[in-house]
Amino acid sequence: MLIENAIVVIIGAVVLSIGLVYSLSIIQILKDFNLARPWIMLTTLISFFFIGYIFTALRFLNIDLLPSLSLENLVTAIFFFGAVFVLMLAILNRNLLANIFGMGLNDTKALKIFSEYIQIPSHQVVSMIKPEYYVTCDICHQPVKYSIPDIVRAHPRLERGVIVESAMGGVNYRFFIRHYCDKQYREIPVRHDSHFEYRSHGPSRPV
Amino acid sequence: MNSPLNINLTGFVLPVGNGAVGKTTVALVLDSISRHEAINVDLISKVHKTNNLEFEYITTRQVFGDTQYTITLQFLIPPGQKEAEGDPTGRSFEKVVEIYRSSFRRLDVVLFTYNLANHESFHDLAYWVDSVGMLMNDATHFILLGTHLDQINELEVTKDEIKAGLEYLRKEILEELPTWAGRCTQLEVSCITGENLDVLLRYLAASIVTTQPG
Repeated sequence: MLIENAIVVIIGAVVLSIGLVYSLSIIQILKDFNLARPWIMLTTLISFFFIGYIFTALRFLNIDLLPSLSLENLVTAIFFFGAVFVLMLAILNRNLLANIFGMGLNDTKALKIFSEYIQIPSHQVVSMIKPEYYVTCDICHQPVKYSIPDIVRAHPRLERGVIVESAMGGVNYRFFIRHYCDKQYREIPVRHDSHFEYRSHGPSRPV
Repeated sequence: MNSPLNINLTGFVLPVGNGAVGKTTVALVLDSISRHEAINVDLISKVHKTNNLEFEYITTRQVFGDTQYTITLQFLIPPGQKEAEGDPTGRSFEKVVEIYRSSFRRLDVVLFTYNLANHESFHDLAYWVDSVGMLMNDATHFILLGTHLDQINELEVTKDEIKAGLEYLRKEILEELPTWAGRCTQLEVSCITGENLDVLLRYLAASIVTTQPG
């Protein structure tokens, strides 16, 4: 029975090592964007679990590398760090999905964030903006409806969704409108003038 | 009977702005206008990207007051590529200025040229005023020149923006040259329909007359 347990744990360790390879490749991708730190922590935890699996498998085979460490202590540590691992993964996934699908903010909160970002009082912004704007997608040729709160919701990092351009004595805003078509999310760059009137838009690009 | 006084003058005009805004085309079309010829659309379609400093000469006869002037406008047309863009297919504006510095000793008029149907070309004039400010002198006039006026349904730059842009350019030049006493104006033209090109030609001629010493 102990040998069978050892085999199952070793198979688990192999699966974990595949996960480790994937985690390392994620770090490779994210390090260029300075976003790798959470995944380095996750990879460290996976490495810790991997060592724990090997240690446990050997214990099942009556090979005791650390006699002072009991199986109960090891399981306790794996339970604790397993919970930490799940929490970190949930936070990372939540941030990733918020980046893709947007945040759950109401219009008031979204407009407050927007007015703070562009440094114009909220009441001035509200007096100038329209409740809805429309732009035609260059891929599906359908009208795409959007509003300023929609843009804020779609971009948790607002600097990626709103660019304030100051030049030639005026201010312009470039908004990136999220739109799902052609089986993918696309962004349409739209330019609004200093009164938030729609002026023009450029070709869309996949997110 | 007195024959009217005729004075010959030569002036130097520098159009600056992003690539494909119409710097070369304006010069070519003004040539046709000065000869009272129809605009040759074929000629416009053959205009290519400027990769070095190009020259165009336009002679126009204009009467101001009781004096007739024969004015030769020497257009110095630089590339619209910025050094920072790193375009390997031709020289950048900065490189051309470095090489042909002596050609820019006297500039009578600078044309800050942008495409009315391309907002980016208007915004980028903030870059061009920084680049050209050092080439201007106290008497240099400038025109904020919008092209593609015929694209009436695609115009992206508003009248308010043009007004604010003109004021911005004036302030920037005064910062660079506190003693600057040149004049400035805005004008929107179409090289296809010829709209306002005769006004531009006359304004350029008048600028050359007013920038003459004495």
